[in-house]
Amino acid sequence: MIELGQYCLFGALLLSAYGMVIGALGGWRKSLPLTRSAENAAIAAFGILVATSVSLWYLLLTDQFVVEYVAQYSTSKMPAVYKFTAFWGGQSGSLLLWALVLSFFSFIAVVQNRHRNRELMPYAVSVLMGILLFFTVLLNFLTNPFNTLTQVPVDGQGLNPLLQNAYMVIHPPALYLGYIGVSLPFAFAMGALMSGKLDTSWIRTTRQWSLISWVFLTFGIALGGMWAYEELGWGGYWAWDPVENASFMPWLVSTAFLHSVMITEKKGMLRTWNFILVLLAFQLSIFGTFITRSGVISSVHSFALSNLGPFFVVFLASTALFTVFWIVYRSPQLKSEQRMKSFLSREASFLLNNWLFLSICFAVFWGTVFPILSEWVTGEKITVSVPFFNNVSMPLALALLILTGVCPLIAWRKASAKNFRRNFLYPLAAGLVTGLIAVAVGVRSLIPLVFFSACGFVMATIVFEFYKGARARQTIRPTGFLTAVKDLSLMNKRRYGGFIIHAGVVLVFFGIIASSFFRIEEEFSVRQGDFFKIGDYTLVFKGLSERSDPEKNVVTAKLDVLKNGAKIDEVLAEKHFHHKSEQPMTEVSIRPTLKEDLYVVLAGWDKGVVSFHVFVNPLVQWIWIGIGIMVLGGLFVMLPNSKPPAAHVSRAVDEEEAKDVAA
Amino acid sequence: MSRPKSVLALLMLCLSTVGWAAEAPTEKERVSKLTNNLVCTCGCANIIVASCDCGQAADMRKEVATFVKEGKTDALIFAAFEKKYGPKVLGAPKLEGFNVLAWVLPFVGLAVGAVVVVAVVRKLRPKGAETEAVEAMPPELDEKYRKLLEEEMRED
Repeated sequence: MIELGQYCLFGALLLSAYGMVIGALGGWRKSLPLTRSAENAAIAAFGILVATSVSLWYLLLTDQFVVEYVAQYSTSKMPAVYKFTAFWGGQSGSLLLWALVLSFFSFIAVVQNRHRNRELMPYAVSVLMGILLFFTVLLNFLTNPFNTLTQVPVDGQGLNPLLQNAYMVIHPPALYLGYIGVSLPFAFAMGALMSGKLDTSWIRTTRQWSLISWVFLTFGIALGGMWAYEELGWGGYWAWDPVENASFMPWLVSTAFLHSVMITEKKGMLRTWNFILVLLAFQLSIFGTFITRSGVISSVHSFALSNLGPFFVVFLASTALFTVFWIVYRSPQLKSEQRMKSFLSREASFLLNNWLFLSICFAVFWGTVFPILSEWVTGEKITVSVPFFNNVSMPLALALLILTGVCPLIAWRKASAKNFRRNFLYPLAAGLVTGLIAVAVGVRSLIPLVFFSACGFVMATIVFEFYKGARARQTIRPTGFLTAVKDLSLMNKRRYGGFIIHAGVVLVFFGIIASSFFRIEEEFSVRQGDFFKIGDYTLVFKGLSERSDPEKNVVTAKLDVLKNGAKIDEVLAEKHFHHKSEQPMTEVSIRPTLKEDLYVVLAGWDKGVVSFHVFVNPLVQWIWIGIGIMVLGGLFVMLPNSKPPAAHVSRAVDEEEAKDVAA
Repeated sequence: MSRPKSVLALLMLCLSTVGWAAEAPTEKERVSKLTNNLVCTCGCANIIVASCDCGQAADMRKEVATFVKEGKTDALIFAAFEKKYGPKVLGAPKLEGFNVLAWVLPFVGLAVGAVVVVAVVRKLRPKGAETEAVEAMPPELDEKYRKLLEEEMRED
């Protein structure tokens, strides 16, 4: 199996090199046989990488500790599911997963485009295989997952216990799917640039891919947050850690891209800009992979450069140069097809959106690399952490939130001044009411009040959007209101799916602001039978107990939760002492409600005195709910069209456009 | 844009005048603020002192509480921590020397972006080069665009 894996991995390298060269040649010579050959190489590369991955899985599941990677990330005692996920527990496995998924995506792209996009395909395949070549070179020569040990250990070291939970089963692949999904729009963009077929066909072809990748990025980031919240025991879900930032930046740029392509598709404006954005999104995805490369554990504990660093830098630099060269070369053909109406048009508002997303991305990037810069210049190690990022991103995030509400109103403004005023009035009133409610429940500081009001305002604009649309539709076709909402949303999935996503965003803001401004935290040292109070809760410490299983010893503290004098619940906060790991692990007790989470950490014990670190985190669950709605909104946009087949899509867009103008 | 902005400004003004708690922060609030701006140096991923799960953070929290009880100012406490644990303990770069750049550049980026956006909109707006664009549009749309344009000009 080891040899099989090694040979397959080398085969993948040869195939991707072949696909890259022959694809480019096929495009240059406009030769169908050459192009087909490159496409077949892409399909074969997928097949051979499946074989490679199956080999690694087999080795992991059969405890073959002669393989260094297996010995490092697996043990014979681990449950099978974690042996399976140990595949991406470390550097070489994560990179193999990257290669596998990229080849899978390329395979689908090739099959989908057997008879479409013939001008783009040879170059797109060539670019995809070029990316794959990079990863297979790393895997073959620098971090081979099939390297063997001369001395076979009796047992492996095992996956870090922190990673042995359900979130870590899904989080890395989800994030990777997001990262890798960006490669397809990038490859087709390159296809457009290199072939000179610069219309919007590359955007249309990869629209679904951009969305899928965005949905996975969103989902992956959320899972990472949940994991941090439940496993790391510091009461928060986001620490502005370099790796978190590395996943957030491609998300920001992808989001900007999803918005900007709409202007290009509909109005033919900003064509160069999309190429720059897709390049940026791709580069940031590679950068994100690079930072997370050695498995997720480095994400929370260290940020050291591995021997792969220089290779990633060279790859990033060369793809950037290559793309910029093509953009400059084609720039005379990339002029805007139409003119913008004014600063108050929807196009302009999308530009503002892009401006804010990229500004936040830049701020995050700057904060992430600043410690390195500062150390070079001043020789002093400094920290750029939560206080910095929160302060810098907050005003930008507020502006973005408000813009989310203002944009649809700008579109509506086309109706008439009177209408416009009315459309603006209700949402503003809703914002004001939200602010007043916040004051009534005891919010007294300015920033959260402004954010809450903005949330109310934006939510109202979204509701209003659905309401007005459904009413208008009812006048055309008399149906029930809800049917009208459904029909309306299905008729323009992109528009209304987008609003659903925005509604999710509002809830996420709501939760983030509440939980960061109104968190209560306190430490208590108590003896058995003592009670302590935090927020509305009274907790009674009932005692410690100890148990052990083959993997670990567990110390459990039991507490009764009382509210208004009555017992409402019982919680268990634990510390796990894994035999394989020196650091004890905190198993937090979280008692989630829609209003607030009671979060109890067992901090330590000494001679009968037990200490707890307790948090009351308000509205955290709304963050997860909001992200859930964002993901659902994204999936809604992707729903297959029941009516118009592919050929009619462009006309449907035109009709929509005409409707927009007429509205 | 001016109308929505002014209404928003008004909204914020309304909110800001609603009964404000202007009392001095309690000791607890000060400890919370300080520990939220210090970073634990235990080797975890720059988790702030207020929430880090390790023993060192617990000790640091106690230190802060003691300082606050003694009546030391925020600046003094930060300085004491920096001296004891090194500059890494501060959660954000100080506003001095090279580190000012950390704070300034994001907003420079924002400003540069604003200039670019304005330039792009200016460039894409129909002024002299309008004819070419109008020709590219189908005639029935053209009429509607023109009406909209006129309407907007009037309102502004």
